[in-house]
Amino acid sequence: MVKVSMLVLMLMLQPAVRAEGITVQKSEGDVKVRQGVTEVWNTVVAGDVLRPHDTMRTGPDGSAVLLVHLNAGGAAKRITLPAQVIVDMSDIRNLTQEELMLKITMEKVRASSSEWKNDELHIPNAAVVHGEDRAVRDPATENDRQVGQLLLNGARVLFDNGFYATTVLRSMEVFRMYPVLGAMFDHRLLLAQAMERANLRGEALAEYSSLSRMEGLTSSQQQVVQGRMDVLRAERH
Amino acid sequence: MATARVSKSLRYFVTPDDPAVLRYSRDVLLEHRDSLANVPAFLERFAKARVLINSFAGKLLYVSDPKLSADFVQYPSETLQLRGGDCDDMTVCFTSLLSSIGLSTAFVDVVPPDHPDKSHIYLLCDTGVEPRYGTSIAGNPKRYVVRRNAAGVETVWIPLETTVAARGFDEAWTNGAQEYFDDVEVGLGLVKGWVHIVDVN
Repeated sequence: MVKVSMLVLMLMLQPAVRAEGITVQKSEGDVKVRQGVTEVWNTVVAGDVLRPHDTMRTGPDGSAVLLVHLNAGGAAKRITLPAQVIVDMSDIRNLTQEELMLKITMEKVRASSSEWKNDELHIPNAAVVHGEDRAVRDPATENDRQVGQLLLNGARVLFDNGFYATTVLRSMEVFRMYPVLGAMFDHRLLLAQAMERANLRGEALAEYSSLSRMEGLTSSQQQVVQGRMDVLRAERH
Repeated sequence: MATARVSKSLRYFVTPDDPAVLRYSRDVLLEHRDSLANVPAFLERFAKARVLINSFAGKLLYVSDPKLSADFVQYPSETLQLRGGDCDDMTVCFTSLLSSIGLSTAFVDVVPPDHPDKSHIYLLCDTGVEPRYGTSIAGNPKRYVVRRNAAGVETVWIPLETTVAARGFDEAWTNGAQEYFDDVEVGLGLVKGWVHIVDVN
């Protein structure tokens, strides 16, 4: 028992394992890659090597198989990307629980800037306000929901391949950028399940609890959520 | 060249209320008044940052190699007058200019653990755009960062690498975004403590 606990602890404290190399083993139909912060999507073919800052997108008739080496010299993991997904190569990695918790916590406290709270600069504003109300003239257009859906499909691929930490982070980011998608049961359930698998039991319970309060849940959905909440609560005691 | 500790003191060189800074930013905005009037209201801050940086970029005479400069920081009025400086000088100057027109900014202070001699500083600028309208700023979300502003509201911030600002706003943005993604997302610098974000205002 002690040995098992030590092993679990060592695994938790290991630094993030990032893919050492990602090779496109197979590519069919519409499969494209966007490099870094560029806006251009380029066609990808089998044999291409991808880098952590690359993003892969498959079209309605596209699919790809990636060969990922998570550790230098280790066995390669095969990841299949079905049609209609977007996956960031930097998400194909395992984070430690500590790294994941820190990332989530940082997102919550980013605005605190506690060091400066009692030391505020007075910033004057030289901007001049005049003319018509342009908010009425040029209303903002929300992000394309289809893209958000492709990103969540990608998060599902991460989940299915055991990358639970990055599934959590990716889902949370998509919900911030596409609030409509964050209000959908299936997407929220994926986040809660990923939290649970990433050993964030408290966060998972809070997410299931929030899900249970969603309006219009079917009885089977309520049953799924309640079942997971019962399991997590039982584990706490 | 900056370190985590230095970036906090750099903040005291940010002088948005300096008459030279105010005069410069006001003149630029007045000069571009007509084009700015045609920008949708929600993109106004972003458009102002663009014209302000492009304007000063066009006047820059030099940007020195930070390795060649001593630990001396110019005030923004000096950088405006000399039309140049090193990484710290440019970051402080652009931060002051952006702050003078009401834009929130933050320093990104990077001290690579394997190369502490290559420490570096660049900045984040709050566009004020809500994340759900982020694609109005850029189609690739790696070009921006969603973070809360001082009011606790999540907005889209853009990273700007000021040492390449002489090549214009877009180049400064592209370089800044790539650095931020590599440092924070791929390298996990924030989590591991070798990247610090210091909010200026």
